[in-house]
Amino acid sequence: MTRPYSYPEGITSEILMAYADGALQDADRARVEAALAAVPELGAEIAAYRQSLAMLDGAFDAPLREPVPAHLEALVMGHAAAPGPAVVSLDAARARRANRGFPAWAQGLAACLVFGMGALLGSGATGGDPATPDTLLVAGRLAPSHPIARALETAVSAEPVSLDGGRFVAYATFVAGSGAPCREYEAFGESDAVTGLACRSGSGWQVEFLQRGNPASSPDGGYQLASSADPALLDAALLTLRAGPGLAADAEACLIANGWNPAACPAE
Amino acid sequence: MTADRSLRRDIVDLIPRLRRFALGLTGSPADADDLVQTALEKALSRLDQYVPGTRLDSWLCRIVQTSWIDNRRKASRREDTMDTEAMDRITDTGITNHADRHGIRADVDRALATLSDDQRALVILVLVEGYSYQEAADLSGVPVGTVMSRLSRARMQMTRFLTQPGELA
Repeated sequence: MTRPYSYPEGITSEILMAYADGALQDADRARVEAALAAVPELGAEIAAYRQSLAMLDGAFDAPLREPVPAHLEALVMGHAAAPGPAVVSLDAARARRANRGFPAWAQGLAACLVFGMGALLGSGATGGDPATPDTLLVAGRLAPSHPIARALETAVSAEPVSLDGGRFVAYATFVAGSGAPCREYEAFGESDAVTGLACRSGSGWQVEFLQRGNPASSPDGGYQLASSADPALLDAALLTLRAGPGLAADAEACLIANGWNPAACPAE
Repeated sequence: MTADRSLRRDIVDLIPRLRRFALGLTGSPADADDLVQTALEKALSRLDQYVPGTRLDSWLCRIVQTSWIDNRRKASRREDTMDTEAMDRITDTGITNHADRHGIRADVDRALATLSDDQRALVILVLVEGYSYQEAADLSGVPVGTVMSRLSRARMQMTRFLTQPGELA
């Protein structure tokens, strides 16, 4: 860059910039002020440095006033869906369920399915006796020997297991606001199909929510659970439990391996 | 375990500043968020390289900066095959309209567009993020003297452009 004046001894562009930025020690500042008195043109250069600073003041501050984008926070906190099925998310499980008809083997049972649905919030609504003829329609505390309890205890999410001639699928594992590990599941039996939420306390599984199957027709002629027609009840139950995000597969595996003791599997 | 979680929380708290830094570098909110995401993915993949007790914001800004420089190098390799003069004309109008749409002042955007990538990164680090010359030098891995000479040249260029807007407008 060309200047119509020369810098006095000991003055450089860098020193003038530092002076404009207030970054000089006292002695250097005095030196610049003396030079400024001798060569007034230096003042324009100092003003230009100040102008560049003023020009950018607040120019890019919009992000400071915005909330942190959810996808970036989730990325950092490890809640984001990892590639493939490594992370079981409640939303993903729900989407899968909504898109899926009743399994082919269950279609012949349509006549047996009960119209309407029951949403049993809370505990003990139908008792917890494992000897009840219908294995699936149980809410409240489950005996450890109950087939649903055994399935809840050991099944890996998204991997169906057989259940007294029917099938059981855990869709997700999450931690409730109380700190208890909980699971969202579906079970199909001879005469019913249910969606449930069960939480594990020290002594065993407690079914907190149960929604009964509804033989609503799906486009492919199969049958869907009531929850897929009206997921609002399940969502309300998840809210009531203050359900956290779905746990990653390794966190779930840790709980399964450690008898569902959360202390053995700290978050992260 | 808990330390890792608290470190991640600290990183989340810095995201607004990283987005501001990235916005200053890219001049576009969408590109800025892509850049921050890329940088955060890199940071998370090497969380063990962060030295506790050192400045987390500097560590993250350095990753944002190197990610941006990487992107720019890849982009310029692609543009090498195009008519660069025509590209410049397109970019000039593009930047102006773009900037107006996103509430970034057009004069700021045009002035920064006259700088080299290294100059622009230093200008944003010091004038927007408020790092000292020495901190910017440590963060960029160049001597402080180099930072100061690059920065003073960049700032004179920005303001020369401002006082002669007719030349490029």
